[in-house]
This record gives sequence, C-alpha cells and structure tokens, in this order.
Amino acid sequence: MRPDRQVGIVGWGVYVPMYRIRSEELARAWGREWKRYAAGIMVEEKSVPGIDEDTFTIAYEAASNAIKRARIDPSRINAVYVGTESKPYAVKPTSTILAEALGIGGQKRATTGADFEFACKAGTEAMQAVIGLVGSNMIDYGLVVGADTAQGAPGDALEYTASSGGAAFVIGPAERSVALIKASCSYVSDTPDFWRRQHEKYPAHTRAFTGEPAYFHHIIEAAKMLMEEIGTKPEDYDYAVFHQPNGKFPLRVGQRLGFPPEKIKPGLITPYIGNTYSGSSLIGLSAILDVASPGQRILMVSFGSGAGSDAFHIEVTDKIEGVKDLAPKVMDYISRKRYVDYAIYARNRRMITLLKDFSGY
Amino acid sequence: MYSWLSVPSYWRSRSRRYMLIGGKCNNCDYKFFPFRRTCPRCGSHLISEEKLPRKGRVLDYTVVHNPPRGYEYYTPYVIALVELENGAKVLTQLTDVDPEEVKEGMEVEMSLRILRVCGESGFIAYGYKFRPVVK
Amino acid sequence: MASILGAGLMKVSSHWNMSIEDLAFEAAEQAMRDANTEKVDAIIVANAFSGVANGQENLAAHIASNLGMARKPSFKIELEGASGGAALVAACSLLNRYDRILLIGVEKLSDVTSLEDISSVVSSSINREHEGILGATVYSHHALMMREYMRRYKLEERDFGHFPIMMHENAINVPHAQLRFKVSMKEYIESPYVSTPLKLMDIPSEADGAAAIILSRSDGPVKVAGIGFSGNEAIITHRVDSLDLENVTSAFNMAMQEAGIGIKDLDFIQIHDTSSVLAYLQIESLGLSDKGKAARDTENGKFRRDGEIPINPEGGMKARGYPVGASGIYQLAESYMQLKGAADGYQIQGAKNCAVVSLGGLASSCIVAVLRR
Repeated sequence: MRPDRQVGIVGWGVYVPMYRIRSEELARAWGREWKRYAAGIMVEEKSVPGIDEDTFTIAYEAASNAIKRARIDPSRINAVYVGTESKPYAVKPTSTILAEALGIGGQKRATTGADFEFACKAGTEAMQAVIGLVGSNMIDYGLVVGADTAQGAPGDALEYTASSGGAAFVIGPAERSVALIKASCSYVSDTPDFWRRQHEKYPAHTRAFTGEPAYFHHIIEAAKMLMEEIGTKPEDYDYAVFHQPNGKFPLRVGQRLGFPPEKIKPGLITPYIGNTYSGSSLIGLSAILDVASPGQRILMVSFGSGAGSDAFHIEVTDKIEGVKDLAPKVMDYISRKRYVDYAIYARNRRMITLLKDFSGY
Repeated sequence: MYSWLSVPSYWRSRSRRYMLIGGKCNNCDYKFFPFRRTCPRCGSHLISEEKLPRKGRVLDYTVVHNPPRGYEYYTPYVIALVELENGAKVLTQLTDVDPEEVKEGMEVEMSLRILRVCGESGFIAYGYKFRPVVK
Repeated sequence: MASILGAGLMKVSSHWNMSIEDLAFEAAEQAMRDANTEKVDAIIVANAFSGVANGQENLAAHIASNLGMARKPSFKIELEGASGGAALVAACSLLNRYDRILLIGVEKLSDVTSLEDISSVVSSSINREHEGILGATVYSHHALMMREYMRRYKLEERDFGHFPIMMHENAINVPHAQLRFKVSMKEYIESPYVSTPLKLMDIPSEADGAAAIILSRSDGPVKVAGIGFSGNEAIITHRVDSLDLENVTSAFNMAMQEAGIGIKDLDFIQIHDTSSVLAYLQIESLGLSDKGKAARDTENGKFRRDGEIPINPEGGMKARGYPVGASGIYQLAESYMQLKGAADGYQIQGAKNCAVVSLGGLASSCIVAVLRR
C-alpha cells in the first residue's frame, strides 16, 4: 500500500509513567521464584502508571512531545486517532478529549477523531488510517497515538509484562517529514490467541498458542509481503522493530526473517518497561528515531492479537537532526523511574477497590 | 449532594483547565488564573484570555491528609500555589513527586492528569496538575 | 441604635438527639426567656451548611414553624462563617420595619458522619468549579496561608501552638464550650496533620450549636454601637497578596469610628479563629500586634483573659467550638453576657466595650461589630 502523495513522520513523541515494579517483586507476591519461573521472558521490570494516569493522560503527554518536534500549530492538525485497548471509557472517545486538550482543529474544531482497537496493533492501524488521509490530500496533518495501561490479571503470566506507556506521531507531507513512510501493508487472520470479552476487566490468552500461529506467523507474513511488494531485503534495513510482548520474541522473529540482533536492539524497549501494548512497537520506533541518521531505513512490524500485523517501510530524512532534542527521548523516560512494591502497584492500578459510594452514612 | 461533580460545570471550563487559559488585564497587565472578566488588581473590565506559561515554581505547598469525598484514592496529595513564569499564580496539585520531596522554589511544569473519577459509573474529570520538570 | 435585649446559647457538641429545628428552638427559647419577652416581630436565621450538610433548605420557615411562629416573617442568611455577622447587619437595618428581631444562629454538622463528607461540606466555601475540583479543601487553603506566613516571618510550627493553647485554657471554665481541657505544646506539636503544616490542633472541630439574640430598637442592656463590613477576593489566587487581610482592618476601623471609641477603650475582642494562622493575621490586621509578631505576643500573654487586651475569653472557635454559620451569633451572645456581667467563671471584670469580628471564607467577608454596655 502506497499513498498517492508521499507522506512521513513530521514529529514523534513518547511518554512512559515514572513508576516501575520489578518482575522479582511481582513473583514474590505470588510465591514464585523469579529466576526459575519466568526469567526467560527477559523483562526485568515494567512501568506502572501513577494513580492519576490513564490512557488519555499518557496519550496527551506523548502527543504534546510529538507536536513539539513537529513544530506546527495544533490547529493545523485535522485528524486524531488513538489506538488503545485500555480506553478510559468503554463508550466515549479518548480522541475527543485529546483534541480538546491540545487545541487540535483550532477554534473551528475541524478534526476527525476516533479510537481504534486491535489489541496491540491499534496504534499502527491508526497510523495507516492517517497515512491514507494525508496521502490522499484530504488533510495535511494528522495525529496518531498508540497508548495503553495494559491489564494483566493478578498472578497471571501477563502480569509480568503488561505495562503502561505510549507513543505519538504527527503524520504530514513528505517535504516536512523527518522520516518518510514509503509503504505499508497488513496481514490478518481469525486467530483467537488472546482476547478480552466485553465487560471483563482482564484479558484471557492461550499461552504457547500465542507464539507460533499468532505472533510469529503474522509478523513474518506481513514483513515478507512488504519486502516482496517493494523489492527490499533485510540487508537493506539499518533497523528493525517488531512488536515486543517480551524481550525474547522480537529477537527470535528477527532471526527467522534474517535480521541480526544489533539491528533490533536499539528499538527493543520491553526489557526495561514491559509491554505497552498499543505503544509497544511505536515506542520502539521512537527509540530508533531518537538515534537514527539521515538516509537510514527502518522496518517496523506490529502485531495485534486476534490477529494481524502491519508492516512499514520508513526512511529517515535529513530533517531529523534539528528536532531530536525538542522533547524528552525514550531513554529519558526509561531512566526517570521510581520503584514501587506490589501494594502500591495494586493501588495505582486500582486493583484495590474502596468502599463503593452508597447513600446512607 | 456535596460529593457530586456536575458535568456541565466541568465541561464549560474544560478548555481553560486543559490549556491553562487565564486572564490578562489590558489596563494594568496583571495575569491571573482562573479567568474572570474583572481584574483582581485594578478592577478593570478590559480582560482578554491568555494562555499561561506551562512552567513555574512552587510558592507554598501543603500535603492534604483530609480529602473531600472523591479524592480518597489519591491521598496524601500535594496542593500548591505555583507562580508561573509570567507571574500569574495557579492553585494546583503536584504529581509524580513524593510529598517529602516538595520544596519551596522547586521548578515544576504542567501536565494533564485525572482529577477524580466519579464512582464506578460516573465520568472522569481531567485537569492540569504540575510535576517536577522531566527534562 | 440597636440593642440586644437577651441572649441564649447551647453547649457546642454533637447533639445526636436533636434536629436542626430542635437546636434552634432551644437557643431561641433561652434568648426570649432572658429578654423576658414572648413576642418577636421577625426571625433571621444564620446558617452556613443546611443545604449541603442536612439537605434542608427553606430552613427559616421550618425553624419559625417549629417555634410556633409560622406567621412571622423569617429568612436565612448564609455567608459561611460570617453568616452571624451578616445576619446582624441585616437585622440592624430592618429595625425600622420590625421592632424586635430574633436572630438565631444554628449549625448541625454531626448528621454528616464521615470525614470525607465533612471535608466536602466545609470545603463548599471555597470555589467549587475552580478550586474544589482540584482536591483543594478549606484546610489546604489555611495551610497554604500558614506556610506563606511561616516563610515570610521566619516562624516555626511551634509558634502557632500558643494560640490554641490559650484558647483551650480559656474554655475550661466555660459551660457551653465544646473542648474544656488544657493542651500542652507537646500535644500541639504531636497532633496529626490535617494538611501540612496545619495540624488538627490548629483548627476547630466542626460541631452542632445554636445561639440566639433578640435585637430591638428600644433600649436594652447592650447596644450595637458600630458596624463595619468589608470583603476580600474569594479565590485564593486572585489575591495579589495571599496574606492580605486589609478588609479586616477597614471593617474594624469603620465600626470603631461609628462607635466613636479607640482601641484602648476595648475591654476584649472576639475574633474568628478558624485556624491559628488566621487568628494571628486577624490580630495583626486589627492593630493588636505588629506584622509577624502575633505569635510572640500571644506567647507573652498579651491576649489572655487577664492580659492587656483579652481575645476570645470563652475559648473562641478553637475550644468553645465552631458551629460555622452560628458562630457569629455565639460571639454576640457571649459578648452580651460578658458586658452584662453574666459570664460566671470566665467574666472579664467591668467590661464595657468590645469588638466582635465575624469572618467568612478565608476572610473573604469580614463584619466587625462594636458592642457597648
């Protein structure tokens, strides 16, 4: 899939809450010996939102950073798409709050806005939608966010990785882009590897089945499809970013596709902050943009359970040098941290409920 | 009744709360928050809206241990008077900081956070809070 | 000139067994008995929170009906802590229409049993849309002023202990006081924080209470010799100087000028001590201490019952208790008793003139009345 008009990333920004919990502490709460139990997932710690943070507030921070790097007035942005699987409201868009808070669409409030859901790939799917809008000349600039405060049931294996954070991108015309998005494609199939039913608080998953038929199959198919379509090979890329549910899978899928670890590690963030779901591959991409040089090429492939993968071919332009320092980088957020224990974690995640409101004291 | 939060009341001032839009007196140049149509200093009615700076420093602060209904989950939290870069004063919560670390003169910047969540079914109120400067 | 013909007041406490109408009835009956009258021409109710705390509006009509005076004109005045002072102002100007006006101050807060709800109720006095929504409370406002005061005058937390210690001392012999026990500096220092640096010992505990006075244009034992009334910005960030209580000074000057007396003529002063810092700021605004020196003067005993100029001989809001909207009427009733020589056990001998400071919000309203025997 290639747009009529060349488009690219005009600005990028991320946000990761400052609180962390160590995997060891999570294991302790459930009486497990961390080293034996799950050290294989290669996630040492994960981010935990503050008690006053949710997907909207994370999206707001990331988007503010992206707009700073884009150096445009938010009134010139005419699309806000938020990809998430942890919407603050089940019904009521996060994107409208974001548009209001950032002044997107200006006084006329001329903006399209929607929340996208596709498990962990909602953000990249939103990116494709905005590429379509800009690429067809319907708008000049659009804002894309992938953000989550991911839920993992207490004691479940997911609890070691499900974390919080997000990334945002202002997509615009090629001439203003710090990185061109030259092509994108998607591969989907009905594969129930992971889901959360309506009204349920935590998702269910199929353990090992989430690997081969789900994660690996979809990423490999989408990556191959893209490279075939545009005639590239793994050697043509300086970096590769894959969805990162843990620290291990991205390296393994890269190996199978022919990408050595050194091309993957600069964008491999999950070991430090966990899996931010819709933010996962996009924070990885941001970390690469934080360090990339003009002319470098990036392959990004997301994965969303249920299931599908979006692949992107991205080329860095010489405009990138001037904007890197306009907002905090991924590493700044990674190193800004404070550890919490399981009790504070449970409180911040609102896993502890207070007295419900009742009328009669 | 005393703990309910009115949606229209929240809604009508949301933009000013999200973007920190205060008042600027066109007579004496005083800048203030929240917005109103008369100058707190000179009484002039020549007031225009002014987007206030997002950075400032803590003038005075207090750690709230006795919250009103709806704010229990966040307790203890810090309420501060912050003087913005243009001299306007803002009443705000401080976030991403341990109460013990707060100091007078500390540099802070604006962020948007959850102010309160109205029970299990009610709406979510967002608003500005200040936090130590990220970088 | 208005006179006070009689006064009545109830012990400030949690009156679990009494409704807001019952409380009002009790105080009104005492005042009427004291004034030796069975007839009044109008009723003004001073109350702050009946709407939010009791879910009861149309309060004056219910209170009048309960008194068997359903046919009499009655209405409520609300100005938070200054409701009583504002009721006095209204009553004085209505005296050419109604000869005898019954002023009832009443507050019923013990019906609200949870700490969070009480905090919400009393914090309804700060701006809800812009301040309350942030999680600010009336206490956090007091605390910010306290911090600013400490910073400006280089004071420590213990400097604020002198005031509550004095108030508790004063209340010991006062039968209608809520907290009739001594506190030490150690207890003050160790008292829990409500909103740092503001401690539980810095503020009154909210309670039930009712007080009443009968005001008339005919001659009576105590006269209202002067009144002053002035306001201040109600939102804390709109105050150019958050410690500026200039309106207390001007209300005081107005009242004293009208009464035609000087500060040396005052035998005692009732101030509205909703926190130690607000007490100090009032003391300084009234000209009783230099700026930043109220703590030192309090410590040195200047304001004790036997001091140079006694403040709150009944223990003030801190120890007599703080039935918010009723508190102004308490101050008037107590002053009336002092001036009549009826304050048995806590009498200021020979008292002839006094000033009563009634404050609403964080001094967003200030009414000063000068009373004379």
